[in-house]
Amino acid sequence: MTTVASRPSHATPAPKKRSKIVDYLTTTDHKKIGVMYLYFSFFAFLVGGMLALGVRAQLATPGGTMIEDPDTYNALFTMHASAMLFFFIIPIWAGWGNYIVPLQIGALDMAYPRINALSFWLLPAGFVTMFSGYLMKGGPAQAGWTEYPPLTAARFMPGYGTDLWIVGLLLVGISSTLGAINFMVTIFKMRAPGMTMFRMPVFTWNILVTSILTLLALPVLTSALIMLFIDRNYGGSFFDPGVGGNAILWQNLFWFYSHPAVYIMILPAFGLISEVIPVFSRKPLFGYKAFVFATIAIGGLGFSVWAHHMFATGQVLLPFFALMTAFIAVPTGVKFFNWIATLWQGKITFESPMLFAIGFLTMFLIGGLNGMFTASPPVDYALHDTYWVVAHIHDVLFGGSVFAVFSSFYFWYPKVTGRMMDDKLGKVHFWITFVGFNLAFFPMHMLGLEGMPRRIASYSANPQWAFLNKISTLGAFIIGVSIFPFVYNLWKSRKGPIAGNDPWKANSLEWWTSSPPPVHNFDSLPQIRSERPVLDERLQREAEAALAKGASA
Amino acid sequence: MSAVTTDEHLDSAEGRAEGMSMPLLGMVLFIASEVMFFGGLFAAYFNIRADADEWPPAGLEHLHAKLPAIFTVVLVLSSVTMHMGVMAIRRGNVRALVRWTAITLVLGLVFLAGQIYDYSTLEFTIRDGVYGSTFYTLTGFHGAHVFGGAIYLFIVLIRAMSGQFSKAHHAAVEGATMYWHFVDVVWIALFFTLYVLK
Amino acid sequence: MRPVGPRLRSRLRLAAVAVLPLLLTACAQQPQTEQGKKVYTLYNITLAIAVLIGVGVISMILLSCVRYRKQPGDESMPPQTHGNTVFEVVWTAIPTVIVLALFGMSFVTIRAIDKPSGNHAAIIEVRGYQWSWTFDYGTNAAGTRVLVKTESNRTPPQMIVPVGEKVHIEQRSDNVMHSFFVPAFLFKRDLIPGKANGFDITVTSPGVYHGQCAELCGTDHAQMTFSVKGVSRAEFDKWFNEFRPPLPKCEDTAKAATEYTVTALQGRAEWETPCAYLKAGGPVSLTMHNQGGLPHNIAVFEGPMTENKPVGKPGKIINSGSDTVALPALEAGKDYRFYCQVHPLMEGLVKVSP
Repeated sequence: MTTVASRPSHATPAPKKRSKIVDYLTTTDHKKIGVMYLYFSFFAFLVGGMLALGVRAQLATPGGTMIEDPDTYNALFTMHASAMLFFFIIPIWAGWGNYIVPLQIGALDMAYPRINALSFWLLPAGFVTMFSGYLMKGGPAQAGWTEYPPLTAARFMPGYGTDLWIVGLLLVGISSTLGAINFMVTIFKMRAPGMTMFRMPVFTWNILVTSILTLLALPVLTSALIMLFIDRNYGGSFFDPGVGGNAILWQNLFWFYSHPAVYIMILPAFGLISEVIPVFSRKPLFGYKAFVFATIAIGGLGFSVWAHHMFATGQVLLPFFALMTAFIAVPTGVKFFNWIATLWQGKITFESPMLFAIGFLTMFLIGGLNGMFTASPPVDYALHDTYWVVAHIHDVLFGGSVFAVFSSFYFWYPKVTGRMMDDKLGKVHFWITFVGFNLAFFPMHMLGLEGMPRRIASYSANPQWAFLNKISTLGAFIIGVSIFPFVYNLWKSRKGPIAGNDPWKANSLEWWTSSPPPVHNFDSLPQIRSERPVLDERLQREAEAALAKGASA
Repeated sequence: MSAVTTDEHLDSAEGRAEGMSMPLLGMVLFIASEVMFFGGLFAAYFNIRADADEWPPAGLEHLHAKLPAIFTVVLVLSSVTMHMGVMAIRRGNVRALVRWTAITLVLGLVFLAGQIYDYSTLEFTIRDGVYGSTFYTLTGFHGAHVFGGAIYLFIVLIRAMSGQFSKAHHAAVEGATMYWHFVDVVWIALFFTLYVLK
Repeated sequence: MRPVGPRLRSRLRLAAVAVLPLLLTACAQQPQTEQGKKVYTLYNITLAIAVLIGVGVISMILLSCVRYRKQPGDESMPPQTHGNTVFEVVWTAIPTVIVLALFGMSFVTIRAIDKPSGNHAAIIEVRGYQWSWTFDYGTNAAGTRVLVKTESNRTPPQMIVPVGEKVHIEQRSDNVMHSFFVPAFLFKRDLIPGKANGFDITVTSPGVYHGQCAELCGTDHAQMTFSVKGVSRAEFDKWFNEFRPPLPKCEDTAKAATEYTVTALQGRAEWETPCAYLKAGGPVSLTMHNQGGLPHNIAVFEGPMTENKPVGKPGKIINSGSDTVALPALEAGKDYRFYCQVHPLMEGLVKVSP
């Protein structure tokens, strides 16, 4: 018999019935906060998606006739990127981290539940602040999500839009920093008995490395944002070359955060994929420790490559940053081999989470390979700031992170709601997304090679770019359509088949407890003897059952 | 074949209860993020200073270090008194904690007053080029952190006076001490960078 | 080993088709400079490696998906392999070797195209404005400053370079960042306020090559185009020595008065019409109406602004509204021009009628 350590219930019994809304507004439960993160980030995804469709509609014709005023267009892609990066991809992983990490390590809640609630509520505050630029004279921020000065100096970009963008992002920054501290303390201090660091699920490991990156990189962006704000509003001159400031300084500080931020967006996706592939291949993750070390290596190298975004400035030490950037390919390559070796000799099934995970493998691979071109400074001279880079970022963040986000929804929806999602609809969703994605972003490689710069509102001088742009726009709208089966599925599946504790025959602790989990997460915990405690327990029970059958026969 | 390993690593909660307490670990991580924040400001300062032909720019004198040196001593002293306070509560001496925290708070406020006085004597403002921008931003954000620390100390003082701390339970005091030391160290770096380094 | 099924073969074919467009992209832009040709070679090597890795890895993924898909009814557990040190060392080493090789080639190419050298057929100072360019060649034998810029009919400026000779480009900006990008040269470099930047190009064949700003620089970033024209040495010398700065044609002299207003367009560094018609003989005044969006002023000079012969005092820099400058008596037939000193590209002609 396996000993099952039972835990005292820490649940505070609800004294009186409160409305569900008040309950969510005041909650400090990591699961409810996680769900709010998911709702909010998905909302930001829809907002960012609408803005992207605006961008694509404008570029369908060379003259760009849909939007007359180029400033409106500039605001469109600026706010598209801001919504997607700061309010969708980063927080949606914080959302899943919130919901799943305490469950995966057998904890009752996050380390600081009230700070956790604060982290969440700062996000909508930041969103409202940033997007209230649309109500201001002159519109919202419109210098791209990179906001390079001197274009963002007050004399070139008057109006409140840029200031609101800065303040909004500062709020997001505080949210992320507090969240990172919370994750780290939770993971270091609140693991269940037996849950050693090297028995932690890979998703938790990746959230940990992500948190370290956030903790160390984000404050540097905060300092840069404050300097820009001082420049704009209090007559400072940090980034103003006219009076001794340095325009390149912003780029250095900005990318010191924003390159690690790419890993903040992709590492949790790696983690999720590394949960899904073993479960649906019925095998352990091949080379678990190597995988963890590769994650740490990516995180570490992430701090020494920021200037590869600045090759075309001619102001950075090319060989160093080129070499460091090239090295990132090594741990990433290791991960790919680990994933493939996990698939190899498995018994693979293709439910929706797995389908999106395979989609991730193939599409993120393209994003990795086209990154190899821009890692080489001479090739980057040709491709930097063209549509090639737009293709690269979308291959990595859509083909990578977003495919993983969809996979995570299909994977964990049963845990959160207790119901299964419709798998057929999930497959429809996958194939529409896959086709739309490739139509939208593959042609951008060719546009980049033909020399189409990013962030242009029209290209009348180059009507030959129109054909590929039209295909890309078509693809974008197909992606738009693909959201409908997904949202319908989320809604309809609230009455789907009952999931049970462990519908996927999975490995990690979140599948031990009921679906949805009780307020205090666990009524009991199994013994944790490997990184797959739930599987160990299942195998043991099966063995005992077989033994009992043999004995009775 | 399943992946069951031996039970010898059932390291558990005791392992984790050792070492730093949860609130203190949170404070350490928070301070790490603050170090990176000031790192960004210092990076900007050195970058701009390295770019400049003259530092301070023509028409400005090098900052006088005498008065700030006195206030530096005051702040370092306050770090010592805070340390005395935390040592006292580790022995369970609440009255000594109250005394030392109060002294620390006063020294902190003296430092802030000194900085405001120092500002009033300067002939340049934040609007006067990079020299003014960097000086006021770096010292201003440090000042804001001292102010935040003073509020924290004030809360600790009130709680100590109402008897909320004991030998076993005084995480907030440990946190405040750690934070106060951090603020002190940042100032020493600032003092040497801004006032002394030529 | 199981035989490869027809389904797998069709999937592999699918993968090959998916990779095909990538191969096509290799032919997108033919490089037109010596430096660009080196970049092109490096690009093609990278492409070959990327396609090889891409096809290999995607085939492995699809192969394992097909070969190891669960058979209906089979509920047994597959072998639980946790890792294999030999494999893991090998597949860490392989990418390391590949990236080091690529880095080595990049390094050699950087040295070849970024190496400064002393012998230049011409040194051209490129300045970026919101939202156009000037190409400044210095003065020619006739003493004319060869400064190419947007003409009044808004044709983008054209940089003329001799073919087969190394030309040095110096880059300056005193407003925001821009980036000098000619796709056919496979090259771009940023113009950074406060920092001198530059590079060499050697255009290899005659022709006109499209270029445009590649760093977001505000409202009309997309309109900030230019072209580079490669010509023979003889043609270049002829153009250089006979250069005459183009000026707007102002024929509407019937409008001449003692007070005249010119309008700076909303949010643009451009005059509504770059002509001011004034009467000769007595004191006159010129008013600038700024529709807003950008700071402008108005200043009148005799001849080009660079020769620094101001007429009257320059006006105030204002963000919107009107500002009037008083001018002394002007002479008919002399060459007077007005500028916005914030945007020197905003040049207009003061046509003086008797």
